[in-house]
Amino acid sequence: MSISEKLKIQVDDYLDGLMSDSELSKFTEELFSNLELQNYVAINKEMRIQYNDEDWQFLEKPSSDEFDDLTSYLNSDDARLLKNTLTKVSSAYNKDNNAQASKTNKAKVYSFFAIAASIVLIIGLFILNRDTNLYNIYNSWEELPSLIERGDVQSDVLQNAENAFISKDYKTANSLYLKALENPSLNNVNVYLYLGITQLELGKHEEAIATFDKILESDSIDFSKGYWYKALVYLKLDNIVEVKKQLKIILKDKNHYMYEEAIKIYSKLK
Amino acid sequence: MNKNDYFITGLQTKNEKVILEIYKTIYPNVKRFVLQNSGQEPDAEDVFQKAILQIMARLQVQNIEIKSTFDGYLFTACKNLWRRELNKTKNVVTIDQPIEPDDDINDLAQSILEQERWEFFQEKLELISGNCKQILQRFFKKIPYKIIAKELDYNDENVVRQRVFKCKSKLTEMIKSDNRFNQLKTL
Repeated sequence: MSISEKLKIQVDDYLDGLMSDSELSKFTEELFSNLELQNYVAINKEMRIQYNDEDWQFLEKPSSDEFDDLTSYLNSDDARLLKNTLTKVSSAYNKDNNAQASKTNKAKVYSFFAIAASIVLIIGLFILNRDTNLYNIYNSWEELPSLIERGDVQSDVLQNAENAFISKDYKTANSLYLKALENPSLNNVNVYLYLGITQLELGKHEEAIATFDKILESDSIDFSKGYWYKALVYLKLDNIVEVKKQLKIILKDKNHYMYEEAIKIYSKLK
Repeated sequence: MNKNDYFITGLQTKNEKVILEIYKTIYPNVKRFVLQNSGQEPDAEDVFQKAILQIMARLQVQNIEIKSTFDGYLFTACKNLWRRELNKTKNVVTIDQPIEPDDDINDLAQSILEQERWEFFQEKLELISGNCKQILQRFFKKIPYKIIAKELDYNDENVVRQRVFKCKSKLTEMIKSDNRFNQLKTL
């Protein structure tokens, strides 16, 4: 038995809420006893939801193999790592965006003062340049992010390395960072960063350069830190040609790490 | 490597540079959409990250094939997730208790199955004739028969109503005859 056209019109009126009380009561009575009508109403109701731009069709709490497979993926280490990476990239993206927005706004309002301040800064730097060892300005390593995550059992070696690093025991820190890098789950840009600095502090300059090159070759959004720390190695060695080379690369992109500092140093070295 | 594979491989390998590119390319549109539809910036971020996790879970578990561009696919997933969030308040009675992480995972998994069902319905609409599609799209957007008649050059609203019934019945048949329709129960 198929549904009559009259009934189909009634279904539309029912779903549109256009029925009078008496029509509604008659229709619901029919609906209660007519399974075919129930199915017709159900699919029409769902089509209205699936094909408009405002509503959403929720499902009953599913208990299928597919649902279990999905939750087990979403609970996996792989999904967790992706989530952490997304959070990291999102904050880098927002930081960059906010900086640019505030820079644009400030530039509009304070352009005159900015120019004036730049002149003062250039004069200041010129005076400063005469008797300051640039490397010593930048080797406090306070900018480095801590590698210790709370409750992370695997990070014992990193904890010890960081303690050694903070107390300037670079030899111990160096061997602990090398040990950490043997563990694939600890193999990341920040560990390389610390390792490179221990090498720099221990006078192993070529090794430090090679370590910072690894950062440059990585897929990390922090890759440009490699240019900065290579510049510091060359600064320590007083190799101004190479320092300038690294700074020039940093100056190619405002998003590069220490872009502003690179401007200052580059102008001092000229 | 085409652009879709480039983005997907980037996400699979957690390549931060590629993920940043995804942010730069697609996120501004998602943010604009959410802000224009009663949302705030944190909502846009939440939806964006969930949509990426959703796609990666589907690639991993359901082996889906993205036929459109990755940009378009991700944007649609974001739009649907935000629409879902807005509709949650209509469908769920809020109980004042802390949300457990497991609830988040279950909710995301459920949203994936709902997205799958949404795609199933869209796929069926794409299969009917162009004329039926045009008329039904307007009908489901609640455009009055009178206006549909004018827009699509029909004599009067009765002709449109007849046409809507015919097209709806064709579409219903196509949906019901596919096994996937009965696989998931709706609320």
